Amino acid sequence: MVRFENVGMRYGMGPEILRDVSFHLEPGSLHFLTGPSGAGKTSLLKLMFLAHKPSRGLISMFGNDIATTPRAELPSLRKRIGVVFQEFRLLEHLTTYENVALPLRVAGRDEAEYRADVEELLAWVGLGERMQARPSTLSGGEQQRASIARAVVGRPALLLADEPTGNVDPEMGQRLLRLFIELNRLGTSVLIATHDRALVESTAAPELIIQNGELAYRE
Amino acid sequence: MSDERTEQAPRQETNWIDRLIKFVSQGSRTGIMPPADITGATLVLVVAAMCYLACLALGAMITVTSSASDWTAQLEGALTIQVKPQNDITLEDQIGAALSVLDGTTGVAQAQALSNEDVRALLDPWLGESQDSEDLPLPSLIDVQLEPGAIIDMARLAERLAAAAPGIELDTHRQWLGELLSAARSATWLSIGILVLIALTTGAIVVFATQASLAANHETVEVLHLVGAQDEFVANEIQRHFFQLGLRGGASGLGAAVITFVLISWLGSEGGAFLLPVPGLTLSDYPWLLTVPTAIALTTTAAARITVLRVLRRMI
Repeated sequence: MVRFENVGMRYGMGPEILRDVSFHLEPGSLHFLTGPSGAGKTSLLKLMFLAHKPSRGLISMFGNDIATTPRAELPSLRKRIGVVFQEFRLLEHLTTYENVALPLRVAGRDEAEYRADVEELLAWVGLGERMQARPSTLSGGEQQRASIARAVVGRPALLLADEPTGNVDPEMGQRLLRLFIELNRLGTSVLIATHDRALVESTAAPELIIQNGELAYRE
Repeated sequence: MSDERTEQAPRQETNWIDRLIKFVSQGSRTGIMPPADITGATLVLVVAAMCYLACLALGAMITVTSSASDWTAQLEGALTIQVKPQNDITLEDQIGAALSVLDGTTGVAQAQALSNEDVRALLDPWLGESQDSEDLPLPSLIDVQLEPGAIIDMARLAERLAAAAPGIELDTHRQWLGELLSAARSATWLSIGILVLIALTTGAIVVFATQASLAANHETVEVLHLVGAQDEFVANEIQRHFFQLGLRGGASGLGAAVITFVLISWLGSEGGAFLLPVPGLTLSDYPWLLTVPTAIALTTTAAARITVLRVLRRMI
């Protein structure tokens, strides 16, 4: 599913943020990515959701070597990845419903075909009454839930979540974790980057620990 | 949630008609790009101004071309003979001699001496309708209509008229017509030059506006990119956005230009507003003005598409 071998990454001519990162995510796996702030969690996720290229090493996504995959084929790989951004990245001029439905619209699906699914998902994450609200009128927690709904609406093969429970109360955090676990049970590989030890310890999922740009693995 | 995967490919458009229908019909959906921003409002204003200027240039070109064509048609089938009063012969004899020469000339359909009132009426636009012109020593004029396609040796005819009686001069209008047509051709080329300049300026402005809009909407473009949108999808969304801005600006500019031309026609028909009679645009000329906003909207769309694709190709 995802394979990193001796991957290094730097921004421009700056120092290496990630060094010799190697790991393998099996299909249908659930992992946590932990580590102190600034350790390189978000940079690692950026490589995984194809927003950056590594400065060295091999990255293979769904069996495709990213270095040799033609640029025109990358969008079809991105469509298989759902991303929960730390800063939500909801589009301000679209409603909550339109934001959540965006991946389906981009995939060229008819609205009539997906409307009920999107509404059901929004109700499930507690935004059933806020479907027509603009992101600027949502609270931090509501924006986070909308961002999660957008990431999972297309049933991605790989879900990458950057601090997905950072802005919600523990009860909603557990509810969202159950959503990730349910998706994982249905076949989606899930990687959750978090500082929340309670979240990590509530499951028996293995942990990728990143420190000073280097990766360690804990079962 | 649906059990279907979302990675299914977008439906293939079978031909350009399907693509056009899709392009237009999606315009009614909520655009993925923000509907209006300060860049958009400025662009609409600039496009409106450019469209207005282009319509004026095109309208001027149409007016000049059709006027030149009318003048040519009117003057090529006509001659004027000027009969200046002489001391040793009466005006009636001079006119009679000239008419008899014209009578025997092949290709002349009709020759008629203008009355004094008709001659004075010709001067009214220049001297006003005062009675002062009655005291002026005006020549008599003979209006000659030629048969269509008649080929007449003008130099020979002028010689025969001069020999028939003193004070008779032939005016073929050729020199005046030549100068007029040369001026009309210059005006036409000037209009074409202005139109080309406006098209290039509009293209350059749209490129800058698109880049500014992309910078302002970088977040939208990046999110679309990261949720798996093809470059083509993003480019279509942005070009639709700019096509709508272009159309709005173009329609405003066209409206202002039409009002201007209607006013010019109205003032021209009232007389006295301009030194020369200004025919303005006829009803059949107005559809030509529609080409301007259409061309500007298409220029806007093409410039936006090229710019956004260039920006997107810099992203991984």
